[in-house]
Parts: sequence; structure tokens; C-alpha cells
Amino acid sequence: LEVIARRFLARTTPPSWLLASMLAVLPPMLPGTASALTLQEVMAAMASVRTERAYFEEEKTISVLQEPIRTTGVLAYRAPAYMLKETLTPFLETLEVDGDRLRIDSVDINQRINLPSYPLLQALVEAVRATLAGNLARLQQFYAVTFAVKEATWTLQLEPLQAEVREHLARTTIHGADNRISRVETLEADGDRSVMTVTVIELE
Amino acid sequence: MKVRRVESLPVLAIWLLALAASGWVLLFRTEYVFDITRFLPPDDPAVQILQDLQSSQSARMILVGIEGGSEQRRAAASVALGASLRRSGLFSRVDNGADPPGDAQVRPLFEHRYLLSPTVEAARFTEVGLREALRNRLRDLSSPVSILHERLLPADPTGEMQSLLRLWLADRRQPESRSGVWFSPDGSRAVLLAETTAAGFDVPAQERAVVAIRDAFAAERQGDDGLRLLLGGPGPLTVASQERVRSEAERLSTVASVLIIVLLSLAYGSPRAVGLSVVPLFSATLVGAAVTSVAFGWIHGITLGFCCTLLGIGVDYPIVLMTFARGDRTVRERLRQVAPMQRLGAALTAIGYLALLSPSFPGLSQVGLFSVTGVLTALLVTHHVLPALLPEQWVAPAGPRSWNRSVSWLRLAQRPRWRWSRPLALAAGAATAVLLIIYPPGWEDDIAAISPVPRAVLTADQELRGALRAPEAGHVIMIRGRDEETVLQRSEAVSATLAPLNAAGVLQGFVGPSDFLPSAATQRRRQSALPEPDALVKALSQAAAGLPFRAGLFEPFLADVEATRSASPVRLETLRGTSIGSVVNALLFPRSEHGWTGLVSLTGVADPKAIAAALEQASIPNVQYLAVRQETNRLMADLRAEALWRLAVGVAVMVVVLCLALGSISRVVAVLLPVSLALLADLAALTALGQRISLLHLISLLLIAGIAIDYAVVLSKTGVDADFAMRALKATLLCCTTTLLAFGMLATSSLPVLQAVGTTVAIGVAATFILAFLLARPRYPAPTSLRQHEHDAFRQGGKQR
Repeated sequence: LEVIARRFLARTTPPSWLLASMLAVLPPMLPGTASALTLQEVMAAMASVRTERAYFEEEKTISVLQEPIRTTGVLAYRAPAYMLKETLTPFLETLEVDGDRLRIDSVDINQRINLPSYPLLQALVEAVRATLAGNLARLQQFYAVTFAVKEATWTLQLEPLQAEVREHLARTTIHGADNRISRVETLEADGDRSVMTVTVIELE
Repeated sequence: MKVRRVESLPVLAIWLLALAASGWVLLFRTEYVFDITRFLPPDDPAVQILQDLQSSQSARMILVGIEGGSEQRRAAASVALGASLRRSGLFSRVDNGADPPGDAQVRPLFEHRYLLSPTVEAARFTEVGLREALRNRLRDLSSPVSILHERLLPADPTGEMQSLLRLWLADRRQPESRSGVWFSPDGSRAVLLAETTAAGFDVPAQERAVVAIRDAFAAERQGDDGLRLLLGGPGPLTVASQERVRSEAERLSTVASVLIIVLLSLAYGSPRAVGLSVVPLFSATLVGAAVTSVAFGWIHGITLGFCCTLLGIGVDYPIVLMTFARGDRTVRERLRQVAPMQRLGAALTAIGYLALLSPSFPGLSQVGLFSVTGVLTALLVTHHVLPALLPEQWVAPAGPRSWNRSVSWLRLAQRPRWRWSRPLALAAGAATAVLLIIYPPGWEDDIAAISPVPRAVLTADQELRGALRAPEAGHVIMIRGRDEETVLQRSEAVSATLAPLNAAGVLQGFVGPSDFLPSAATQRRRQSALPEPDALVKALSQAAAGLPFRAGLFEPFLADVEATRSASPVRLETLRGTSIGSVVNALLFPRSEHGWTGLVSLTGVADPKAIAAALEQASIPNVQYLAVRQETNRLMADLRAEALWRLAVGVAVMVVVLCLALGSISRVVAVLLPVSLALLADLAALTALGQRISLLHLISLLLIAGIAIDYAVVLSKTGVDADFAMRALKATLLCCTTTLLAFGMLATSSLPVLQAVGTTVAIGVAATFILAFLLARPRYPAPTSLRQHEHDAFRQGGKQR
């Protein structure tokens, strides 16, 4: 009864983890073009990255808890559709997306999920994955995209289009510089939020 | 002459009355059954399990697939079709994934989580247990799947809902989604599930449901969008086989009838003679079906298929009569000559089919009864009704000369039989027998081989089943009990027996009713494991000390545990109308007379014997482990063995009666030699063609035996003149040709039933004619003078042209 799961999924807050996990770092762009960076240029730069690996640190602020939760781990991306998020502290957990398939493995959870069956999860995945892939058209299937540039850094503000997703996810904001993502912020409809900071280790 | 007509009036009256009564029975008083299990012995465990599966709720499921066109069009068609079917009122449930069930559908699971969750036990509600649970929840909140847990946390800190969801998600019972609706895994088909309000065995209602789906689909089509509709599930399979049997039988019998009428017209050159030839066949079919229907109260589609087999004999009687009655003598005079031979043949055939009457095997009995009645009716009509329909002095027309010339080689009949033909045939027969022993025929034990469901429909059904993840009966454990609670308790015992085997890899998984709905006893045990409110508050506050959960967060948890302590156990009835209830209902259902039935379905069984042994050792009452496929194969083999045995008895009696009736060793040899060699040749030909021998082939061989005896008796008659020998050969040839036409048509059928019968009979009858011609005739032909006379007549005929 995935329906049941979906029901409950639909009722809960959107996972910032996903966004964060997808944040890949971008390949360095040529210096000297800093003045008028456009969305198209950022996307083209992102699209030129084939693989990358990064550390992440995530802080979640959840209403039921008195203090935020912090997790750390590593991220990996392989163009165009593969992403991996491995949480290392305070516990071990693996999340892997390949095409339409999502896999979650931890101590007592082993789940295989078909993304198109879960619009919210799919939207969360695409926020990061489509950005990493530099696929603006795909991104705009799920979000209204607002682009801003401040000196060498840029910001993508993503507001979900589907009502079903909007019910749970207020917006996702992706910060980056050149061809890499540096931070993903997620604001859920009920006020819960998460901030994931990304440090690129390796990028090709 | 007038007097004669008056005398025959009673005969005609009885005949017409019988036809009218038969027609009435068939039109208004007959249940036509297409369900394969009704054809089979009802007491066999395999048949019972098949019937159990049919009476379960899953028998009301119609699986719908939409393919072709674009993904968007398929999805849109699925949404529109779903909405239109929900409006029709014929379905209690239509699911296509577009509208996830409302809270009402899921609420029972959440509401009764402390009764239903397998992980509820006293230790979980102590300080230690709760502390561990809270730590786990904390981890959940920081994990990617926090989405699954956050909302539930206040009411469910021990994670019972997680346990339940894991249970329900375990074998992923829901199809995959694309564009918002359910799709097959490869995305080529949008799939829907519709549950009819009517019972699965209510065929007319299932037919209405199928028609409603087709109409709704047609209404949603947008021009030529390339969409196609596929249906699966027990109802549509029944409807499809019914339609297929009907249309196939109509098409084949129409074509065969036209061919036979053309042939007879060529041979007789008289419309009257042609018309009269089909009267016995028509009467035989009608009366045979009606008698069977009255005797059983219903008639099976497969039995009706055997209507066609009567063609083989039903047309022969009048053909022989007409051929003999042509030219010089009246029908009545000829009848005296022909009737004794035909009576003998009919009696022997009837004996053969009588052997099929079996109290435990309704299908075989129906075929037997239908055939016996049909053969006897055809004989009686030929001998008594046909003469009554004709003027007393009527002589069959001589027939077109072209026909006579074309068969002038039949004068061979007047040549002596070649002296070496019998020894050579015997040697060839022996060689064939040896070959058959070295390369024995393959037996067909797949029940689908005799099922009238078209193969394409069966394939579509299986594919839709896979896409919709509908359970398929492979290995099952059937549990019976007088009530719901008994079955559930036994199901729990079965699950406990299977769990260690599952862990050891003897099977990959299993699911029984008690896994979703525990017995009331188990639910009460869980209730008693829940602590008193004060104790729970104390344990919880101690457990939460030092963890970051907000104060008062778990109030809903405390309230729900307390409410559960005095709740009454969940029954199937509590879940009715929810999708959860539907899943349980597929595994647990009432069965009239037998109380309740539960089904535990097993997947990935590696060692059936180990499972059987474990169940044996657990000695749970009324529990039966069945590998459905093996069981039905075993059933088919049993039935074939029974049919073989009955055929052997029938043939033995036929031989004895034949010996007594013919009263001459040489005549008996003349008849039995071609008959047995023809059967052997038929079997060898089928084997060479790679056909796997099924029950239907065997019954067809019996038909061939009957036909072969008829031919051999006529051809082996001694002490006759050349004219008789010629007529006998002509008549036999005509009979053989009509049978070949009819069954040759059947052999082209896509229905396994008709195809098997057609091939067997077509090959057999050809072999029969050739062998009877070569082997049955007397060694020395008729006196020379008559031969000369006949010869001259032919020569003259040639000159006149």
C-alpha cells in the first residue's frame, strides 16, 4: 500500500535533505566575466560538470524539537541523473537517486521508491538535480524560478508550481558561485526549515 | 401410399415434439457454463482451490489496461475512464491511482495501530523501551525520510505505524505511477482496477460490466488516438472465452456446413437429398445438448464444442443410406440392407461413449452423455424419420454424371484385395508401435491447454496482473475453519511455522490474512500488554529526560494507548469498504457450507517438500499446502489416466460386442485390423506433428474408433454383389470427405479444444478410410458376371458423352 505511504508522505514536511544532497559543486568558470552573469550562463556552466563530490553539513529546525538537529556526510553527483547522499553523523544512512529510482538504506529502513509516484519527492529531487545538470527547462517544469546575482555569487529561488507540492514546500533557495552550489535552504509550509552547506572536494 | 403416410404420422409427431422440447430447453432452461473448474471433478483438492480462488473477492476484480497513443493520452483516458466507471454504479471500487484513498481508507490502520501492529509488546512501553524508541524517532527526524515520521510523532512515538506500513509496503502491492495515474513498470500501459458489485460467478453481470467498460472507453476516445483497451481478471476471461467459443463455433460451423452442402450437392445433384442428409445431424445436436442439459442442469462450453464431433457420425448415416438408395431401389428397400450395419456401428460407438460416464467427473460424463444421445438420435432419425419424410416409392437421384465419372476409379473396389496388404500393414503397424514406444507421445498436462480462454487474452491478463501487482496463485496454503476467528488463529500458526523457513531461504516471502488482521486473541494479548495510564506517563517522562522533545508533545500518544486498552478487537467487518479491507478480504472470505477460507500465498518457493514437512509437523488442523501449478498438472494427469482407463474398458467391450455381432473370426479381423491400425497411425501422426496429447485428443480417438468401425463394417461385408461393394465404397468415401471437411476446419481453430479435436479426427478419418479400403474388404470380390455388367454400364456412360 504505497498509497498509505504516499498519504502520509503528503502530509509531512518536505525533506530539505534531498535538496541539499543534490547540491553539487560547479566547475570553475573563467575569471573576468564577473560583471553580468545570466541565468543561462550559470546553467551552461553547471551543465559542463560531469562528476563531483562534496561534504555537507545540514541543520534542521523542526517545531517538535526544542533544538535543531545537525547531520554531516558526503555527496556525489554524476551527470545527468545520478545523485548520492551519505549521512555519516550522527548515524549512517544512504540515499541514492538514479533516474526515476530512489533508494534509501539505513539501520532499519530499506526503501525503493519510484519517483514519479511521489510528486513531492520528485520536486525536491529535481530542485537540486536539474540545477546540477543545468537543465533549466526541467527545473521550470516544477518551479517558478527567480534568479539573482550579487558579485560572484548567484541565487536561484524556486517556488513549487504543483498545488500538491506547494501544500508542503514553501520554497527552496539555492546559493552558488561559478559552477558550484554552496548552500541549499528549504522552507516548509509549516515553518520547519533546513540549511545545508556544501563544500566541494572534487569536481570534473 | 396414403396409408403409409398416415402410419408415419406418429413418428413425425414424436420427432417434431422432441425437437421443439429440446429447443425450448436449450433456449430457456439451460445454464451455459464456461468456467473450466465446472468441467472437472468437484471433489478434487486442486479443483476446490481453483473454485476457492474464484469465490474470493479477487474474482470480482477487473484489470484494465490502456495502451497505444502518447503517455499523456493514456493517462487522460485512464482518468476519464475511472470517473465514468465510478458513475456507472456497476463497480464498488475503481482505482487508477489518480485519487489516493481518503483518510477514511487509511484511518483504520492508524486508529487500531496498537491492536494491528506486530511489534506491540509490553517491553516497548517501559522506560527502557520508550527511551530507545525516542532515540530512534530523533534519528528519523534528521533522516531523509523524516517526511514519513514527523506528523506521526506526537501520536506514535513507538513507531507502530512504521511497523504497519513496512508490513503493507513489504511486497509493494501498489502499481507504479506516471503522469498522476497507475502505469505498468515500462510505462506502455495505463492500468486500472475495477471491482464489480456483482459476484465473479454471475456471468451475465460480469458481461454487463465488461460491456460498460468497453462503452465508456469508446466514449472517451478522441478520434483516432491509437489507444487500445485490454481487459483481464476472471470476469473478462469468462466473457472472452464465451465470445470466442461462440464466434469461433459459428464461423467454423458455417464454413464447414457450406462446404459439406456443396459437396453433397455435387454428389447427389438433388436438393432434397442434401436437405435430408443434414436432418439427423441437426436433430442429434439439438436432442443431445438438451438431454445433457436436463441431466446436469447446465451444459459446459467444452461439451458444446463436441457438438461438432457429432458431425463425424451424424451425417454419415443418411449419406450411406442415400448412396445405397440411389438409382434403382427405394429408400425403404435399401434401409433393410443398410440398417443392421448402422445399428451395429451406432451401438459400438454408444458403448465407447458410455464408458465415459463417470460419477466424479462431470465434464467427461457430459461429453459421454451428449455423444451417446446424439449418435442414437442420428440413427433413429435416419432410420425412422427420413423414410417418413419421403414418398414411399422415392428413389434417390443417380447424381450428376460428372461426379460418377470422377469417382470411377472406385471400380478398384471390384479388384481383389492385394494378398500381401494385411501382412504388410501388420508389419508397418508393428514398426509404428515400436517407434511410439521409443519416442512416446508427450502428454499435455497444462490446464490452459483445454481452457477455452484465447491465448492472447490470457497473456494480457497475466501482464496486467503483473503491472497491477495483483497476486497470482502459485503456491498457496489453504486454511479452512468454521468462522473468521478460527481461520485467523490457524493463519497465525501457519505464519509462525513459515517464518523460520522464510528466514532460512526456503521461500522468499509469504502473506496470509493474519499478517494484516491478527486474530481477536492476539489483539487481546496486545491490549493486555499496554500499561495503565499512570505507569505510562511515568515511563515516558523518564525516557524523555535529556532528549530535545518539546514538553507535552506526546499527549495524543497517551490518549490513544488508553483508548485502545478498552477497545473491541478489529474484525474484517471493521475494515469493510476500505482499501485495507479489500486486501484482507482477498485472503479471508466466507465460503458457503464450508465456513471460512483463508489463503496464505507464498512467493519464491525453493523447496516445497520442506514446507509441506514443516506444516505436517506443526499439525495445524484444516490446513492444506498446494502448489497450484503442480496440483492442476497432477489433476490433468489424473484425469487423462482416468479417461485412458475408461477408453480401454470401452474399447474392450466394443470388441466383445463386435465379435458376438459379427459371428465370424475373419470378419472380426477384417474390422479390427484397420481400426486399430488407424488409431495407431493417428497417434503416430499427432506425435510426429509435435502435438502434446491431452484429454481431448483421447476423446477424439474414441470418435475415430467409432467412425473406423462403421467404415470397416460396411466395407468388410461378405457375400455381396459388385454393385453393393461399389456403393459401399462410394458412401464411405463421401462420409470420409465430409468428415475431413468439417474437422479440417476445426483444426484451423485458435481454440485449443477445437484444434485438438479437429487435428485428431481429420488425420484419423483419412487414415481410417485408406486402411479400411486396403484391409477390410473381402479377399475375393463379387462374381465376375456382375462385375462385367457394371463395367459395361460405365463404358456406356462414357460413350454417351
